[in-house]
Amino acid sequence: MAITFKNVDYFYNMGTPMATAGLKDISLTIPDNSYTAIIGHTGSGKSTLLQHLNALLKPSSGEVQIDSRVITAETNNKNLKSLRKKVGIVFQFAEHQLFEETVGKDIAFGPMNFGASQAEALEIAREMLTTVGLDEKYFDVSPFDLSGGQMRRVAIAGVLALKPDILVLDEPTAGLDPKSRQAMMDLFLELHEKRGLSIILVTHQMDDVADFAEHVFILEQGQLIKSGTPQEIFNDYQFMLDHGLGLPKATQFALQMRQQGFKVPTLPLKESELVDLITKQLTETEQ
Amino acid sequence: MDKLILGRFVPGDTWIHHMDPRSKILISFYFIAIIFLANNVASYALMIAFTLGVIFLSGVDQKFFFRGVRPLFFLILITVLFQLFLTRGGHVYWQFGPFALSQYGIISSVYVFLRFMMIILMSTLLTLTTAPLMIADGIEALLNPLKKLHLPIDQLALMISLALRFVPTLMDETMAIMNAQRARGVDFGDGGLMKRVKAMVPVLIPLFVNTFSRAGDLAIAMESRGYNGETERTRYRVLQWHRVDTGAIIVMIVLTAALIFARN
Repeated sequence: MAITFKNVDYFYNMGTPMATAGLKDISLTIPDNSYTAIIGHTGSGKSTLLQHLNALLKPSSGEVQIDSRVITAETNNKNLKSLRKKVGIVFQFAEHQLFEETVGKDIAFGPMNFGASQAEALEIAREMLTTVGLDEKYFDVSPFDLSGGQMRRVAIAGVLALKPDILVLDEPTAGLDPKSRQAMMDLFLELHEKRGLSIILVTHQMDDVADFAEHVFILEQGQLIKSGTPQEIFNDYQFMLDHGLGLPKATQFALQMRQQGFKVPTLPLKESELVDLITKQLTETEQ
Repeated sequence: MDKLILGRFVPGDTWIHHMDPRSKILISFYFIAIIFLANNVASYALMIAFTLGVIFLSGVDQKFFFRGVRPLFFLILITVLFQLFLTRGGHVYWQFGPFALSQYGIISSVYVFLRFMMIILMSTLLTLTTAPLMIADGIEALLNPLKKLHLPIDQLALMISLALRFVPTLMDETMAIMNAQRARGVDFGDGGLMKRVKAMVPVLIPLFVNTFSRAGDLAIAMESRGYNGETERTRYRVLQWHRVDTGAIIVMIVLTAALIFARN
């Protein structure tokens, strides 16, 4: 299932003196079964773009094609529900959406909205709870008794319970400790590789972009200013630095090596690539 | 959510914007009180002219005023209909059971409608031209004499400012939670009344939980910066009475005199 944007504009407060552009002439394609990263500063239009992915917002002009459905400004608000089952969005600080008495019921909330019976929904909930790495003993606990990281997992399970084809994650690891961060990023990779979910990740962590993404879109002030594979994007490191976006740690390290006179033929993005580079340098100097 | 105009301040650079919040609040209340003195065409015309005049002076786009009226549309409509069909007197044009369309009914419903509109427009004008914090400061200053009765006016004022401060935050948060629940398949605009009310539960519970936790954090943040309700506080924005405020009071006195002259 692919998502295509064609010349999408979006204005906030349409028809008032306070109208401001959220998105300007965005055209992009997110292919089926891909791992895409969207990066950009706060206020660059990332969240606005996300809300177009399951028609929470409709373009002011242009069109968004989700699977075979075309969404334009004229699209009726009814019958958009089926899209929301296909594209699951985990919003920023997703733990703030929990409301049910028990973790199990909260995860089952989504499937029940899409017509699953209570028994079916609870069955799915139980499965998803373990998928996100929480013990089954939490099933009947109040979500408000959990830690922040655990609540985040429950919220993600609540979206996974819809069994979406595309999982959209808006800074899913913001505010988590390093260990939970790692566990969560591993979970998304597993969902992508083993279950064939497309992942769309909004992030400020360039290391995550380098480690996981297959394709990157960069937004600035509502416009798409660059796109490409992580390698293409970070090879143009001057562009990244000029736009204040930062680089992966391995790339930063390699650039400093280059400044010190070491030979860095291709810029490493991941830690493993950096290790290879350094080992190569060491063996060469020994010879 | 965008429709909620309460506390939607539109910055500007007019006499009305520069007035002291104290005089603006007093005048708004005073105007609402004297509207009830109007009782004939001339006096209503005078009040309408005044209302339109100050709206024009404020330089705020009329669209904002219409938006202020819209949420109260049904309240106005029902009140006007009651007046129209339940008031009797004068010539009766039509009658059915307890309902009648009479001469007095038509006149009084028109008056009620005008009164409603003017009250809403004037209070909208107050909130459109005065920053919420200034309103809070104004209320505090006006309530200040009650301190003599050992009422906690400072704390009350702080509560009002905090509440106003968090209105936009809460609105943003409501939108975010609604989006999250929509993404989980909730249809807010769908189904009968019961279904719509039920759809709000997944929004209200997280909203309450988050609000309480935020209030707790805020209290800690304030205490760690040494907040203490007992001590006398100095202020960053000092209210100043300008000539334009005195002028406005004089205008109100003239308006009252003219009104008393015009009414019968």
